Amino acid sequence: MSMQGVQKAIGGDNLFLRKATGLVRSWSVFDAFIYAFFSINLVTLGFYIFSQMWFLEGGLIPAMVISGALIFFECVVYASLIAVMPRAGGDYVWQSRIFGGLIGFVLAVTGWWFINWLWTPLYADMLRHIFFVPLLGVLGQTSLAQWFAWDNNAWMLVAVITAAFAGAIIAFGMRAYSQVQKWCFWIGNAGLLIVCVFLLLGNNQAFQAGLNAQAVKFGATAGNVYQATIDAGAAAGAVSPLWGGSIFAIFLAMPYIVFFNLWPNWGATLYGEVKGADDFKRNLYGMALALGVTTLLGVIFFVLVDKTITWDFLSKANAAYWNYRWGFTTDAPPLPFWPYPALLAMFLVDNPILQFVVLLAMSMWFFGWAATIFLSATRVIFAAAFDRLLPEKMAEVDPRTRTPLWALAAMIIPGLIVSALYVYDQFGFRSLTLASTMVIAVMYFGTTLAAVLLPYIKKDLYEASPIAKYRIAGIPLISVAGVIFGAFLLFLLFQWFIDPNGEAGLYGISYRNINSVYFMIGFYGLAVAMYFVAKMYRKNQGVDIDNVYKEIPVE
Amino acid sequence: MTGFLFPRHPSPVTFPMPLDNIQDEALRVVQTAQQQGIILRLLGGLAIRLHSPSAQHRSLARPYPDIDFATPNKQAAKIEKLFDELGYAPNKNFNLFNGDVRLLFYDEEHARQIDIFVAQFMMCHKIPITDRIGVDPLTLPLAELMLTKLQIFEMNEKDIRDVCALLLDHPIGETDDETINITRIMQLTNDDWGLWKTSMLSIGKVKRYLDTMEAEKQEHDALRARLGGLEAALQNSSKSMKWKMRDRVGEKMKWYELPEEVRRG
Repeated sequence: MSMQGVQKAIGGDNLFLRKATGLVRSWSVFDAFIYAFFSINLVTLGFYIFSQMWFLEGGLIPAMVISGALIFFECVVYASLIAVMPRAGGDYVWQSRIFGGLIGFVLAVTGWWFINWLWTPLYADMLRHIFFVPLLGVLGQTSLAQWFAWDNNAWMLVAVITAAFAGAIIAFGMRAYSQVQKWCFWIGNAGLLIVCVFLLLGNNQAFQAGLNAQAVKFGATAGNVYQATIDAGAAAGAVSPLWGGSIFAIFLAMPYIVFFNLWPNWGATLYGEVKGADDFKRNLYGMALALGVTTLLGVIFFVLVDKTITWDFLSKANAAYWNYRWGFTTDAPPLPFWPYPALLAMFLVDNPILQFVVLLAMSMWFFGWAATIFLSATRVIFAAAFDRLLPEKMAEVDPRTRTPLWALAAMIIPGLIVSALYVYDQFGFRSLTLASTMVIAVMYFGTTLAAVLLPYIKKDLYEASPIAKYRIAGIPLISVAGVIFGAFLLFLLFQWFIDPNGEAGLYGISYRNINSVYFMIGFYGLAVAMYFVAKMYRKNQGVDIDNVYKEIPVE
Repeated sequence: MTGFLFPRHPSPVTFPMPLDNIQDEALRVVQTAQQQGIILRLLGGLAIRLHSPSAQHRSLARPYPDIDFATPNKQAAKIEKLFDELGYAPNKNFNLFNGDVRLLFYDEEHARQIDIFVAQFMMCHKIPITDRIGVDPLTLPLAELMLTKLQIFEMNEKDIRDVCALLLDHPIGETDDETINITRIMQLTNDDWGLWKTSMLSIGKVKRYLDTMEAEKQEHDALRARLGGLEAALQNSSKSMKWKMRDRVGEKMKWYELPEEVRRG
């Protein structure tokens, strides 16, 4: 019987014209959305970096909204590239296939792999402040909470816990991880909703009373902690507004803000494992929705904070805390812990069980996100190993546990070494916080440039792709979006590296910070050296690495 | 002592390259696996052909381009070594990312793909395979074979022919001995509304296909009777609470996955 005959016979149903047994990919578009949503994590990355911006004059909300609008074009760029080449390895594959191996390898391994070593102590710092300190304090374990809040050994211990947790999640595989992040997503958002309800229904008098009564459990001196914090913050020079500020000041806040929201594309290296990844619109919706929802959540949350806790208090509490922690004053802050907004909100109630449950739920924002530190990077390591620029061992999984042991070791061991350097502040590592973002932004710039040029350099590939039909005034959408996002990245890179505003600069990682310069030279130098050593080694084996880049890797 | 200092390797075993006849090759793979203590069972069209002479009936015959296997979870590591020895090339990239559930190998000479489902069959729906993998020495049990076909949301002609072949040669019953075990089918569909729904749709498609299928009257009658029996059993069996709750949502929510093709690059 002909195909049409069969189709008619079974009632017009479309026949499944597969050639071979199909595959249900590990992640749905919703899983990719959650990964993007957690990657621009309001509670961890957002709260953490906003707290360090107390000396900037640009309003937090306009800076968040305007940067979000510009980062939308990043979503367009990455959704397009994913649709053209939905391969594990993302930026590495795209850059190396468009620009060649040197640029692709150097930018991708520094931006996806090496820099995550520096993120390890930062993740750990967030974990101790949103999990260990608040939960132990609520339980009345004051000295233990203080140990976690201030002791470097505790911070290092948390770095080990962070690396172990992220490694374990990755070892469970993508399917298991999607379940973990889904649970964390719903529980974490339920926690945030409850915190928002408390902020909505509470008032500043109740907050002041709750703070003054309960901060003692966290090690504060009894008395008017609220007023003492405002005084300490004013003395530190807190000026950051919630709204307003000149457009120039708002843009100057962005090199900080993007520490939080530059990452809706963080799943880019994983899209070989996402269903329907060659669908541009679905990719875009996943990333852009994560960006939009997170920005909206941020606006709502801080409006509620302003209503009950007041932005003025939070900004001053942040100033008092970081001014002391950064060593600009020897006066300990009246609030002897990082001013975690969710914890402050929970001072509106005096029920420790309720506080514990809500804060535990809020900590799911960390646990659902923690694996992002290594997961995306593993795919870049695998892709480079498949191209034979890294030892093949790096793309092996342990046959019994199916864990990528070598790839994980290549992230965890250096990550813990860099954690020690950062935690114990050796070679000025603590001044490099924003370098964690700058190195990735450099890599994104390479990818953005590749996106702009794709329709012209790889014409056949582009014309055959599902994004070829999207044009603005005859110019490919991917190029238009790439130019806009590329200009934004250039602005950020200029501010970070030249940092022309203020005597000492605003971001601490400019050419004036000699530690930062050595750090950059070391990072990029190591990557360049690895590339040429691998190329020579393979040449001796009779393999010309340049030929590898003429092929698009298999799925 | 000598063995300790200079380990005695077993004498090298030579495995011939994949055979031209795909059915012979499938049997060779299963038997070699058995010799090495590896549990591997056939599924898909070739498995049905082994059980069903009717698969060679002029109305039901179809080509067999690829071979599908199933294996329990803990055997996956040994499988990779086995197929390497048998002359197959792994899809390293695919196996790295999906090896916990699927493995892919290629017989380059015959342009054949080997698909191995690990621990569970996962396509439009999930079907557990580990617990009953020992029921038949060569293939998955007939009930599971039937479900691997009925669970396909967008059936193709080959799938429909496979279902007909299975039903022509095997009665519906309550055992696994050359019988399609309805108890097992109901056990899975009574708890999984999606699998039940797609299976019912598939039964409908096969029934409509029978209207135009060339076959003897008694074959038509047997097929209709068995399909009717299967449909009635699925319809009338008692369902779990989970099934009933999902039934209330109905078709408003998508109940199946659509597997994607894996391009070889």
